[in-house]
Amino acid sequence: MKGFLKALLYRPVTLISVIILILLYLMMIFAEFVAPYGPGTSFSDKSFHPPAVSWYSQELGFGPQVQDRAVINEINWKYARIKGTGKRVQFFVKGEPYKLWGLIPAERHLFGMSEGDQSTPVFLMGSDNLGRCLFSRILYGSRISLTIGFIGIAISMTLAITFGGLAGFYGGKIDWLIMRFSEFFILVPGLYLILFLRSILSRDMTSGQSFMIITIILSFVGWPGSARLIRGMVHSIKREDFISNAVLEGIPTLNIIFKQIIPQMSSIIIVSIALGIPGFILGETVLSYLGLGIVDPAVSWGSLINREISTLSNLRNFPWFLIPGLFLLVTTLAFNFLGDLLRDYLDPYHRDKGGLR
Amino acid sequence: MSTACKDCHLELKDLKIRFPLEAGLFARYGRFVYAVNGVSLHLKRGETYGLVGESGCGKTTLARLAVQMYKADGGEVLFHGKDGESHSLMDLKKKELFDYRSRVKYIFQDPARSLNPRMNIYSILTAGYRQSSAWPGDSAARQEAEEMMVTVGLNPEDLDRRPADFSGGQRQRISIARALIMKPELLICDEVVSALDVSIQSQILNLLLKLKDKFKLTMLFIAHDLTVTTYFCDRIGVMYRGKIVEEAPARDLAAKRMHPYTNLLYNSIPSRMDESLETEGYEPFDSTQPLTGCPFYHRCSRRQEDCLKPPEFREVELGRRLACFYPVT
Amino acid sequence: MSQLVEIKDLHITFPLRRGALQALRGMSYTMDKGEILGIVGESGSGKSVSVQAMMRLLPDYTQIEGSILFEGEDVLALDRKKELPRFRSSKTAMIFQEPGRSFDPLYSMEKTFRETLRLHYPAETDEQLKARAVELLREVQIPQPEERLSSYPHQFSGGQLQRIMIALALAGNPRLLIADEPTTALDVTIQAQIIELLLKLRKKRDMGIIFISHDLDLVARIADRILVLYGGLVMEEAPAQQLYKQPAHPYSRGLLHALPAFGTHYSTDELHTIPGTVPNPIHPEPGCPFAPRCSRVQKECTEKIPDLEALNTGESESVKLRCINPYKEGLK
Repeated sequence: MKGFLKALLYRPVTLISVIILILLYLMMIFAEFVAPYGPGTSFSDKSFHPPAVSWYSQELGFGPQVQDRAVINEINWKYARIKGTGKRVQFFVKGEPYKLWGLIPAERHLFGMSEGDQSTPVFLMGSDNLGRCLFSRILYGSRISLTIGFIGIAISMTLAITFGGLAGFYGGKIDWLIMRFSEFFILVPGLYLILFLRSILSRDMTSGQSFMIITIILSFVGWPGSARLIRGMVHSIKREDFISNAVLEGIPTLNIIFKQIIPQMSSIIIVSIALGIPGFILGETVLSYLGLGIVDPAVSWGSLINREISTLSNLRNFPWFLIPGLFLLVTTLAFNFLGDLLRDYLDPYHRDKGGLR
Repeated sequence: MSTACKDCHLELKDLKIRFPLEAGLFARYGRFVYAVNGVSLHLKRGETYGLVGESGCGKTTLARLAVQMYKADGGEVLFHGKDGESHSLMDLKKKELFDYRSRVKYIFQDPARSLNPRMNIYSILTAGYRQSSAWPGDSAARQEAEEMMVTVGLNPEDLDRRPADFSGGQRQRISIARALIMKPELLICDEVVSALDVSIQSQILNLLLKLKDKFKLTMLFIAHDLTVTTYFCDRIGVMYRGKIVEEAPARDLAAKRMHPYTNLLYNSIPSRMDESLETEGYEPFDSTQPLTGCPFYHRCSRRQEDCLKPPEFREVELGRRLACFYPVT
Repeated sequence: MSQLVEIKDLHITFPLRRGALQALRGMSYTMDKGEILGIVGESGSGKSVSVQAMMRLLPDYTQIEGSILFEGEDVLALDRKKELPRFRSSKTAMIFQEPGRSFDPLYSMEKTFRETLRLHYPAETDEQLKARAVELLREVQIPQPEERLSSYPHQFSGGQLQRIMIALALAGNPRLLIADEPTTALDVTIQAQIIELLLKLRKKRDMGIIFISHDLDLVARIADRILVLYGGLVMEEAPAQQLYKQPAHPYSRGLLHALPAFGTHYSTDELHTIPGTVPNPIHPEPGCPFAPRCSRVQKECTEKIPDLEALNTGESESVKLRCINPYKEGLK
């Protein structure tokens, strides 16, 4: 662990990535507290409101503050600031009541307007077509987008290790069957397979159900690649003398595969996990973008960049709609940087050789 | 059972094996590597039998046939117990094979590759033991493992460390300890000193000599070095191209070598080399062709036309067997 | 001037994450033209690193101190782009332990030879180059060289590939051939052939050879003079026959004794061993690196590294020794 932290210090980009990931996950966990509003709270007269928080004005000086705005053009939703309405943003303020993690009732938020002030919303990242706070929705959406990766990779890795391990160790007919089975998933273009699987499943589902269904679909598309990798490695490791010895010593075969061979590749597996997570996040995004994944009222990053909202004219007029995409980009990049570092750090050929480089 | 060999421990009878050359969808089937072309030998109880030969001569394959890591295409392996009972390896059931393999232990050449790098020494020593019906439980086994560490000259406190913390010689001691922990009767040592530094090799050889006395072991010792083998073994078989070409007691073989190949091995010992050695590069034998005549025909300086027929492997003097029409005298 | 190589006080250190690995801690020797110098040592003794430094094959972060002169020219000062290729290809040549890895599997031997020979004879036609290649193959005694030129690397055995490696090394008429464990991966009978071949080539071409091996018996057969390395230090330097008959350093003697002599048998002869293990090159103990394993160790041995001093043996040729308590008598 100490060595890993040291390696992190040598790569500032990865260090920043790790910090960003930690922040994102903290915000996800405390979404109710950090978000000023609930995911569905709508300000009906504030559709397409631009990001409202500014840091300086002549009347209030420095500090986060919000000015009232009024609509001046109903067609393209142009807003204008109203002079003399500046108000400071308050911290740890009482606001909309909520239940933290659905359990603990509370009403403090990290920031917001002073108590009871509903006329001036604190849209940190603007609002959407229904006047809902985009920042709050991003935080609530991360609950799906940031966890789907872990659950998805857990399922697909389990499948990959089981099938890859069996195919690689036994070889012959079992190998042939498993590999042809996995090739079926590889040969069919992933997107069509996802669409097909999604379409044969009912569309009337609660958000929890559709979340699980999507994760499982993505896992089924994702496992063959890793399974082939693991099969190849098992195939070469099983020729090592210590495995021959284990066979001679009469250790049960499943025991040899999963307790002696698979642990040899733990570093590869960790790296595949880190590099695989972004794929799942993006997969969910694609489905939701097409309207086949998470739909209102549930929210995910994918549903935030839904094709019905992210039209070209909308993006031109309301550029803050790109922000969820930015979150997505930063997260996937951060996981990739972390995966790269893990690969170099865990690679036995990188270690101890090449010294300072 | 055929006629019992007197005080025999392990008998290999006319063993043969060939491996398919290619595998996969586009392989041309019907091509084989002929690795072992009919080898018979026996190990007497308590003796050390040395197998000498160069890479590719089939000595490792032969040793692996003796623990049924591969299944032979022909011939049989007979194991004679102390009680006079004999078993053919081919007929053993799974459970009996397990018992056999805990009595006949195989030690690999390269200790760096034969110890699982992610297990600690205690787990490495006891992984096989755990599967046996004689498993005494963790605390008793730990004590046995500690004693075994002392026996092979290691520190018993090192049981919780991993192979990477040890040097090559120490790792080879660990694999010896692993082989001995179930108190086997017979050890198969496959080039156990070849991968080690010169100054470490003699430590391991001396350790094996000591253990042989202590545990009353029979040993099959495989090496490519004629000097080490003649020092370490009681009887020696010289292998070439999957055949034993000469077999004799170690001292007799050191004193006199009758097969031209044995003689070539002898003349290749660094302190014996001189200008008279043939330096022309020879064409290596093609092991994908089935063996018909004398295995050494293509390199032999004494070959005649009859050598295209297989020479008989027969006793030429007491204890010495030879397969050659025109031996060196 | 008859000196081919002169190395003075060569220190080589690899800065690793775990600490500085001192591969060589001061090596000096000179080598005459046409001489065969044997360097003997176990893993980690620094034997390969010393010649890799001479060929400038070490990575850039390596710290190298001392000087390496080749025919009076400072090798470490050669310009990497302009002078080094000429030095590597036409003054020196190197052959390695595993010849199979040194060939491009997709090149026929003819193509391999043509590319190498073209460097030395840029004006000649393909036909002339082919004739030279056949001549070289004949010199290393490959049977039917004309036919074999069209073969690919996988069609040769390890021993033949090593011969071809030697032929390629000879293409530039090198003054010095460096052989780094060239026979370790080969069978003993092939090893013997390669050794005899190298001896013949030396005689014919008057070429210097540095022969590196872990096997003292083997080096004693081929070399004129032997350096025994241990823990990055030269322990003993002596003419081969002198070292073989009367090794003075306890380590040299231990190495010779560590393997049985032919004809001895365990039932009558005891096998001497060197106890302990090879030292750690990262944090070496003070004093002689062999001290922890030495049977003749003195108190001073563990305090200070003894100097490498010339020993007066009464013989005409000089012996250098790094030991304060050496053996004085010869072997039985």
